[in-house]
Amino acid sequence: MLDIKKSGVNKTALSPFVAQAVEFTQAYKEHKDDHVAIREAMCLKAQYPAILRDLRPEDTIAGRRPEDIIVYFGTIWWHWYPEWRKGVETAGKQGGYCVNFSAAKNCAKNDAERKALKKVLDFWEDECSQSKIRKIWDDELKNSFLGGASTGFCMSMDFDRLLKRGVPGLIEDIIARKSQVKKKGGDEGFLDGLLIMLDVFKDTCLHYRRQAENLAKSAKSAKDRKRLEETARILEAITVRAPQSFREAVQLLWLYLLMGSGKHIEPGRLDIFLGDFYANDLDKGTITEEEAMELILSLWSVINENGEPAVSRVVLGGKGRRNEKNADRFAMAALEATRRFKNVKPQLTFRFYEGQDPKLFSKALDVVGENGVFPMFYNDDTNVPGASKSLGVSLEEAVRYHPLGCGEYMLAWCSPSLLDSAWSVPKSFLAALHDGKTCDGHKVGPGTGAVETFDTFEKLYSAFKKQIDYAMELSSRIYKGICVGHQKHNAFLFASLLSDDCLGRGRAMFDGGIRYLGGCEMGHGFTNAADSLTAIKKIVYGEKKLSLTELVKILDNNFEGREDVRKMLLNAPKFGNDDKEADGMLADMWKYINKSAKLAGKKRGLDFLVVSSVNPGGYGMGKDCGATADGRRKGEPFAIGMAPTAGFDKKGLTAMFNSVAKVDPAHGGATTNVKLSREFFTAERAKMEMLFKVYFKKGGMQANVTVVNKDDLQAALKEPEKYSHVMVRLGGWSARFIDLEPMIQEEIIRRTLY
Amino acid sequence: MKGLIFAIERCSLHDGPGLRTTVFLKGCPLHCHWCHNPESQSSYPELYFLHEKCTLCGACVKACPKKCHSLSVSNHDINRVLCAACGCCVSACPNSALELKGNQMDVWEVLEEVEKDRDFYVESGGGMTISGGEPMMQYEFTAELLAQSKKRGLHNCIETSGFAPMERYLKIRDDVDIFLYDIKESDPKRHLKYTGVDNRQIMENLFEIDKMGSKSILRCPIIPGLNDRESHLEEIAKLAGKLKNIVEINVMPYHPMGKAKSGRIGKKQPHESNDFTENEKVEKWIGFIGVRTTVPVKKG
Repeated sequence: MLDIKKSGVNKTALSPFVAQAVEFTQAYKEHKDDHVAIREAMCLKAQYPAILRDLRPEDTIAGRRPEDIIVYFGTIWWHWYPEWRKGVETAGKQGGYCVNFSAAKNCAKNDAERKALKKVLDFWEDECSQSKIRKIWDDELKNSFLGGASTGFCMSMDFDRLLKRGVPGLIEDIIARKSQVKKKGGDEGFLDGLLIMLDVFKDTCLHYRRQAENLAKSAKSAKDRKRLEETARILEAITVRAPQSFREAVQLLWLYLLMGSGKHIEPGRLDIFLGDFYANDLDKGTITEEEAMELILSLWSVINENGEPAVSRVVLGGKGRRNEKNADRFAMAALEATRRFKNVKPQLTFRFYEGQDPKLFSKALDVVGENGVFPMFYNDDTNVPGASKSLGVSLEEAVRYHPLGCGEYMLAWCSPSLLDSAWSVPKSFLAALHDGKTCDGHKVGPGTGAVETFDTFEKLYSAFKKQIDYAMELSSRIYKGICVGHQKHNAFLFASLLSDDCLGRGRAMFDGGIRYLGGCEMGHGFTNAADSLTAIKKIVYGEKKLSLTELVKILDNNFEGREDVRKMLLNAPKFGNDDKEADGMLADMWKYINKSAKLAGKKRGLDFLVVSSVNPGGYGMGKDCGATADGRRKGEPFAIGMAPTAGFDKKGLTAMFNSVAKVDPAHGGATTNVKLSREFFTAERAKMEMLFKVYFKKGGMQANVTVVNKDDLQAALKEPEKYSHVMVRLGGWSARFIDLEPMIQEEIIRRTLY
Repeated sequence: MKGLIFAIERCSLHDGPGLRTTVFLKGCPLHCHWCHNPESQSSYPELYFLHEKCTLCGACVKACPKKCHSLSVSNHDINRVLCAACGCCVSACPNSALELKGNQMDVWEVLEEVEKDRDFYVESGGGMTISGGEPMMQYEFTAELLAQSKKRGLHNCIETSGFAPMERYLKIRDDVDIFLYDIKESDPKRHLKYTGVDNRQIMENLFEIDKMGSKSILRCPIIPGLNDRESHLEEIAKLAGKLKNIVEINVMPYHPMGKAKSGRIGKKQPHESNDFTENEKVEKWIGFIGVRTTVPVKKG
């Protein structure tokens, strides 16, 4: 329900949706010159609970985000950018003060609303965080081919702290911190902001409590009434003390997560957070296993309803769990819940290491066999030391590596995930072939010499490396700009409170509060670029079948009339076939890219900059990229993640695994997709378990497994309505097959099916 | 020493225990009506044509020294009698619609490929399987490959029709961990009809191999309409009962992949069914044999 207060708003003319935007804007204006944390807290007050959707009689867990909003404060929301008003149709992920600039056109129902919204948008055009950060970026960054103009980010928060201390405990902590700061005469603004934010949180709990009570009165059955009364009781309890039961913990965690994030929610390591509550309740007998299962399923259901498909990661298992036994118990139940809950969210992520209770791994394989896509597998024995090196942190901290969203690396609850810039590696490669331009003449990099001058492969490779350096330099400047912008304008109170070490330092996350400020560049088309290098090295420099200049012309013409050359390129060794040359090339390029990123990040004052191979942008980014020397035609999709290009891995799973395992985990995260027919999980269950064990023992970082067969998919194309359950995985995320666009469907079918 | 190989398949799950690499040798004395690898039968390299990839561009016509290719508006014909499998058209075809099946490889070359998955064999109890065709058609190569592989400590299986002189089996037995022994038809007349050879020697060899203590898996292709009668299934169970060292019976249901492939090498499969065998049928056969023997029966 909207809580419209007296602020000169014409109640009859404005819908609650529009009125809230006006109200929010008013709050911002009133506190424009206050401390950023206070201003933000006052805006949150105008936002919550106003924008949240009501509790429904069938709900067990309270808290639902709106479908859309006009003006909003949070870590991330997808919206039209300010330029939309001038007719430039760009949209993306905004962070901080997020504004939907198409609102006057798309949300207004009448002239009064249009007029009111025009005023709102006029105000935000310069004032939204996106605009403020764009002012920090220079023209080169604004127009860069990295395509990154997004300023939103995801956060994995420390819910352990929330659940242990409870809201009152956190308030005590803030007050204690405040008195220390006061003694030293420091700035208390951030801490005051936190206190207001927690008040808003409590008010929201009580708002939902009232709704639950009202619904209980009109409940259709005694059972429903009891459930709603329990919800009401819990919503009050969590405002006055730390949660005592599994259900209280789930409610508190969920509502905080929802209010503290944005359109992306990142539940994170739930087995750590909820394991003790789960085990205690079961041991005390206050809840049965089936009741606990129902609650987990309810949680899965709110995550599914409120989360975005590409994110919403729940992580189970792995190193660094303080309560491993209880966490394992919760993890087993959560795996079972995902087996039953056949949906694309939450993105269940399963971490494991040698020495972890083997029944979890076994259960995870059973679940993926039935669910078809989840969980995704992450090998901690490889990834923890890898993350330690790539992020430059100790092994103790590296256990917090969090493969967020599509697979980008960040450190849970001590770094934000700056990730919204996307790099087409093949485009940088083509720039090396065109003296810094794309094949249609757009400048995308520095001049690195005409191809005629590359008389050795090393000269070509070195030109490409310069293009890589340039891209990484851009990337680090983009991220740095975001950090500076958020530092000046936003405190991100919800996220800061549950991040190391904001409270201790008394500072907001971007204002020196959070332990690490780093970014993860999302790279696409690694395999296409590496396979291009391999092919050129062999055909141009080794066998001298044609000159590089000729080849570039043929590529620019998209192989027209030169299918013979394309075939030659296609027949060159390809990554994913356990071929020394091709695999070595990719590993070497990967190493260089991450070294370059690291240096560029350091130079701009970021704690780390890594590059991850993620998805699913490989499809979209391939569309506007010219033909590449691996034989890929103009516009065809890139290879997804750290995987062979579809159809190029001809030697089977073991060969692909051998290839992938050659890539050094010390250089950022990589996703690898494996699509398996269901038989692997039935008749060949034992052999498959061994297959994965060896892959991970060899140093495989990660695997996304899809269980499906070609017939399923072809049948699904013909009769989509019958195959709505077929889920497929595209690297880091999953989607219903029938929802995908035809090009992607074809690609998935074309991919090697083992 | 070189052998004629038409495929090396890694991560093979169905040719013996664990994860394996299967080496397919070209040439077979049998010509089974349902052969699932028709490109394995001839002992010479063959041209393999993927018609759906052909754009009728004519590159092959220009490249072929023997003028084997002829094109019409909608058709691409290959004169297989003239074809010497020289491979000129294969390199010329821009669409990869032509392939050459059959590649001369050294023992060490094969082993280099096999060795790549050693880690997977160790964990899963797998290894190398030599299949075909009939590996004993290239007996010397097979024997050398098995011996070298054993020297490297790999687990060896050989899939054989049993149609070869017994002394050859005696010579390789120390290097073979498990024989994958085909039982195609129990009735001698039908055997002759469906495979082109008599089964007397095959049966004798099986008993000899069993007597010398080598482990075997009986591999039984079951083809609906040809040999799926109860009397044959019963014979399989009986046979297993008479032998001492049968570790498993594999029921291998008919699938039409062989038929599809035969068209690509310009041949016509005598057994023309397009149908995959339904699972229920396979389960029924497995059950039927299973209750009549103590040896485990599995789908192969």
